[in-house]
Amino acid sequence: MDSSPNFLDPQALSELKDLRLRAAAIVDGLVSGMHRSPYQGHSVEFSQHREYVAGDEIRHVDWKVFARTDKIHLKQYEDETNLCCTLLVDQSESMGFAGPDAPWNKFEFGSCLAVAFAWLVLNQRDAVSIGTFADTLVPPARPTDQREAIDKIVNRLKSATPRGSTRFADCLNAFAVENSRRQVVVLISDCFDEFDSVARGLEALRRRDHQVILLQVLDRSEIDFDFGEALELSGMESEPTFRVDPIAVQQAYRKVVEEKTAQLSTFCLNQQILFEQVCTQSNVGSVIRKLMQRNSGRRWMSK
Amino acid sequence: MIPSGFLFALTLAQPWLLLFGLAALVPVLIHFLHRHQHRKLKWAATRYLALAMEKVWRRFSMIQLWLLLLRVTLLLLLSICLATPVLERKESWLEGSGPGSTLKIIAMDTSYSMLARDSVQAGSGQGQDQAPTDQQRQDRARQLASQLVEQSGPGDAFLLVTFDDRLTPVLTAPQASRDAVIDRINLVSPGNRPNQLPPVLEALGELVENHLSSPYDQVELHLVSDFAGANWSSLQEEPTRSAWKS
Repeated sequence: MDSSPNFLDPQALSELKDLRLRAAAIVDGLVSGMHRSPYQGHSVEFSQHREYVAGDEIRHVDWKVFARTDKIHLKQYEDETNLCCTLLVDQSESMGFAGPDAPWNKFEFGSCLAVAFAWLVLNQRDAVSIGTFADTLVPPARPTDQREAIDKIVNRLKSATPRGSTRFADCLNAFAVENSRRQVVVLISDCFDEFDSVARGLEALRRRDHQVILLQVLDRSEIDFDFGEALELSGMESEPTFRVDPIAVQQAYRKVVEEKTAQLSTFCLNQQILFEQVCTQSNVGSVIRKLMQRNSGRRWMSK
Repeated sequence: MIPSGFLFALTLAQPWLLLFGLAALVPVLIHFLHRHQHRKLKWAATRYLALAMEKVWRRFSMIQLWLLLLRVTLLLLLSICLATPVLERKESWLEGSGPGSTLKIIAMDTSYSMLARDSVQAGSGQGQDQAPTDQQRQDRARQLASQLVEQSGPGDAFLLVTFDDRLTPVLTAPQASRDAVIDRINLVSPGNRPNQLPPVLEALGELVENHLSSPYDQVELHLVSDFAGANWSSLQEEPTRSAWKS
């Protein structure tokens, strides 16, 4: 029997039917869709008039304007393009962590979240691709808007195993270099790297004008540190081992988590990055719904 | 107000209950065992944990140590309480009046008869006949007195008096140093006075009575004498009898 998690949990995904992910900012696209393009193209949506210059096609001349003004003007139309969304899921060893009461580990939860996003994007006929990263970037496949792509995404995530350390800056730099076309990048990670590294990686994406959604996935125990007995915590990703009395450390730990979250949140706000900290015990659909509702005022997302 | 010359001694009514103090080892053992009883868990957020540990580790360690000390101290105090400590006021405690100590009053005869020589068997014997030697009675008296001092218990103290027809104190205060007492014994030498036992015994009775209220557990009187010329019938006279009865 297949014990792997069901990334296409219908209950979770059904909650997303009324949500639509849009690129309100100007996103490049190849296929006509629902998102405005900076390029003038062929559609019914009038954009503006432009004076004729030698070489322009005669069929775009607005003869009515010529009749009134005796000047040759061309009609221009807004081209509609589709959203291109890339999902980048952190595949480092730390994402394999699951707390004592967690139904699944962070990577499994992140995968479910990624599939939900992919489903959402494909449902509105936009293109999506998925990549993973840890110490190196596993580049995303070519974005596609085919509904069958969801199976490929699911299979790719199912075959992935969390391992290696997190190198945020290197991986996101590599992605930014290889993907100059503007797109929505959904980052799903626990962000357990040096803050400078995380910041440099995010800045690299923003320099390419990508719209970035950062979802920090944490286990409930990583937020609350609510343990009742003495622990020997051996670090993942070759990190040291700690012997702790949770009751003595809990308060200081929670404060550190709050400070680090606030630091990351402030940075994202300054960089116009949509940031949300999510817990693996949460419902995937509810997380995305909350994300959309919280940011309903932003131009590149709407219901 | 505590008069000078008095000290306080702490004695235990039930000293064997101090063994309960071994229970103080229990928190120490728990402390060290606890260090080895940790639930092992893989942990991803070690960066956060390391920062939190930096903040609390020193304080947490100190609290743990203080708690350990407190637990051990409480158990030790409990064991001392169970042993029922008793605070006693002791006079001249440093001079040897500890628990179970005895004040030994040594009265040495210095009458003229102690200069006489007696023939005594030398050596320990053991079936071999040895030639008898002459020894003054005073030397024999010194030997006996010195043996008495040497064979005494560790907390004992001594008073030294001499007598002939009267009592003469040599060590007026209880003396715990054996060497000092033996030195004084060796300095005792007979005079030319006769032996008059009744008044001497009467004076010794008073001396013993005076020291009955001292902090020593018991008072012993040792007479070292040849009892030459002692009129034992005179001991039946009323003043002497009443003195000894007391």
